[in-house]
Amino acid sequence: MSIIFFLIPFSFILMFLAIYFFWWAVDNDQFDNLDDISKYILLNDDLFEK
Amino acid sequence: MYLRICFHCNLIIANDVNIYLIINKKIKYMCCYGCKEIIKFIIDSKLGNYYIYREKNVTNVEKISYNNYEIYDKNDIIKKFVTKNSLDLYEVTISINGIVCSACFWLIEHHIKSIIGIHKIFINFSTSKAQIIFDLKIIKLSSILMEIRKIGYDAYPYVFKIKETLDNIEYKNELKKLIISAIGSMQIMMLSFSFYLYDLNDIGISYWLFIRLFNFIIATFLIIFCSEKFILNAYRSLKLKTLTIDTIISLSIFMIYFLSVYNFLNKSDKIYFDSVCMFIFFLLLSRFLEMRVRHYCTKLIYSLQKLTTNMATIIKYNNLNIIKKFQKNVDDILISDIILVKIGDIVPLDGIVLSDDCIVDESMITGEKIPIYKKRKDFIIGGCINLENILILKPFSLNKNSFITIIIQILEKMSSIKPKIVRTTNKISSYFILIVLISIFFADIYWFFKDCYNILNVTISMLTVACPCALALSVPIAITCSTNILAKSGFLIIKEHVLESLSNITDVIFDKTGTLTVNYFVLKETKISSKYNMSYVFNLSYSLEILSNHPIAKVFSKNLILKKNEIYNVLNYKEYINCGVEGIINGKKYRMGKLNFIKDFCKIDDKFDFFNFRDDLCIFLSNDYEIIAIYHLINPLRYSSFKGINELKLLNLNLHILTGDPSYSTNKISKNLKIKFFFKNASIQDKLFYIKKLQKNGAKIMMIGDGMNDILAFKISQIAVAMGESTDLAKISSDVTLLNNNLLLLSKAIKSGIYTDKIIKQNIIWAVIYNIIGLFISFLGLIEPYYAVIGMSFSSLLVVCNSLRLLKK
Repeated sequence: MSIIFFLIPFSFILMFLAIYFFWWAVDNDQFDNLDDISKYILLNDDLFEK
Repeated sequence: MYLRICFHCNLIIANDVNIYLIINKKIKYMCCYGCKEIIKFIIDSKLGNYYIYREKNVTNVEKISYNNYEIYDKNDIIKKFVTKNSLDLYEVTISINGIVCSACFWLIEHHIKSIIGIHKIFINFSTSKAQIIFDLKIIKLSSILMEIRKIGYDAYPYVFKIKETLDNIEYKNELKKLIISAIGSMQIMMLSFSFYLYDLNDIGISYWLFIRLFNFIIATFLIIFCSEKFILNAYRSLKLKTLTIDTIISLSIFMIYFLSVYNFLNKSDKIYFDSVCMFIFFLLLSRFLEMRVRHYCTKLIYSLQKLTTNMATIIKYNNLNIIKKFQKNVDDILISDIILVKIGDIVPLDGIVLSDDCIVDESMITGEKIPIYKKRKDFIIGGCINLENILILKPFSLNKNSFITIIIQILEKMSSIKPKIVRTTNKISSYFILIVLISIFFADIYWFFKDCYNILNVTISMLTVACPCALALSVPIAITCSTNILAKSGFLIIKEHVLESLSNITDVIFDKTGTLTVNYFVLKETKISSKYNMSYVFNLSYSLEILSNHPIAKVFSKNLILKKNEIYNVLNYKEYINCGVEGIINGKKYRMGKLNFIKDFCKIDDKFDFFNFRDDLCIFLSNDYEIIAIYHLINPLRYSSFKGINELKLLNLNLHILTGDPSYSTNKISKNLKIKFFFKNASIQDKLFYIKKLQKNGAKIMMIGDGMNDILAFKISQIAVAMGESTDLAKISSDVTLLNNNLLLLSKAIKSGIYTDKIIKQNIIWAVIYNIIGLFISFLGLIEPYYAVIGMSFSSLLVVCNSLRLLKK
């Protein structure tokens, strides 16, 4: 059972990492526009030849 | 000759135009050199994919005006739009007109990205705005705007309104808090899991202390970062000497927290850190959802701003000679200035026409698609588009007092008013809180004499059990569920009071044009003089009308197109404002238009029986001595009108038609739809009066309309519904938008309103009963705080689940 002395602090660090990355994402406008970005992936660059 | 369609803007190409490019080894034709330049530019930049991706037609290039972009390079003006960020880069937000589908922003993004000096570009499709980060030393702002112009879009810099920026900041802050509380609650629930199964003695003191320590840290962390809003609100309401739900929420949070801290230090098992965290998370979640709705409304309001420009051309002249011409920011224009509006430009301000006749398109304000003729000294609303002749304008008011600005201000105020039922439950809960606090006081006195050690436990149980969370949730959650389910089907609720009002509607009033009927014309009947061959006549009309951009002319190019067309060359083509068109075909002069227009041209005999000319629109084709054909145009009923009206009748509602149209067609429609009450030729005041009269007799009114003339009626009716095709202005002053123009949704919405009402009542009754019983039991000290927390969550959960039933329907 003493493994929890390692696991709990470790999960704690993971939690703060998760929070940190979410914050980073929010600050970088990742959640500003949830509708359009999904369309980008459908647009290829090389269908049209001159 | 066959029909050719422009490769870029999909307009029909006139006969004598022969502009083409070879693309993909095939010949493609264009309508004008503007389009050709753009296609060439797009293909040369290797962005030809655009033509594969796009779903809708873009604006014709000739309609985009060439603005003088260099004005934006002046030092004092650029400062208004551009902000400097770190690394010596500049940031600007640009509003782009003419974006119609995702291919447009793909094109703009790829093109702008390839320019040297541009570092980043983000385009928001829903708001048509692009955020560009660029190096001012390498590229000028005007060149960026010019580059966007090159691929066929009109762009100008945009300054975010303070409210928009604040909303954005609020959104980000709330989202961050929600995320913290969600992750924190997950963690704490995992850590606390063991305590639900075992107690201190089973676990062992060292593990117990260790896990509890982390519980303590997470709970403290969450309270510090996420609960500040509740505490601030509670503090504010205390200052105002009122009690709100936030008062009791903050009290509960603090009491539970400090009791847990105290018990933690004394190594007792009565610790409720996990309850506090879940409590905070659920509260934040419900408030986050509410905030999203609020922000959506503000966004709608500011989309009105798109109508106006921020630069205008000012002229100075003496004796009719222009001596000076310069650009000015719209905010700085004085009443003494004279404004010049080029063809295709947006009229920047409300004003009086000083120049001769002109035609404007007011459709973005009134919804009326037919261009409007204005003569000298007429009043023009800022935001419409000048279609013909250069317009000289004397401003009627400053920008801050202009029509659109004032409308926006009114709407801003209105959007912050809460629905009545939410206010009522808030009131009920504030009384309830008072009762709770008083009974806690008595309970404390009682327990002080009976068992001094139990006071804190009893107080906390009572606070938690009696927290009117279920009561507070009962209304918003039911409303959110119904709102979502209705929005999915196309009944988009903008103001929250709608759902509570839906259940007691007694009268439904319809506008006619654009609501019961569609807002475009359809060719219903054609009469052709027996002397002429039908296909010849059709081809004549088609050749004449195809040259015009007037909405009525479009009816002909759409309806007659199916019958293999031959286009004749039209010489001396002329368009008469408000009348019709004229041209010479095969050496003969023809006119096509209204009766009055034909009258001066040929004699009218009675050979034609003029079917029911009292109503509806008739277009005549004639040569210089007789009428050749009569086209009978109507506004047909919407597909959904019949069924929608019948469904409403089944709900025992009184139906009315209230229209500004004086023609006979109202009688016909009301007969067709079996609507008893109708009032035609109604002015805006008549409409107001009619509704007020009904309301005096106790009627609750739902008004369905689509245009400017309905806005005042919208304001006084209980529920205002705007059709999806209506103007932004009408949409914003309404409470509901019917996204797909389907009138069947009205009855569905009313039914769902009645159902929602039922669910809300169930919720409230349950919440009140639970709270009273819970309060009583905890008063007697029969409930541990631990169970109180479960009880509270359970009652809230029950309310939520009950409301979720709405999603099924």
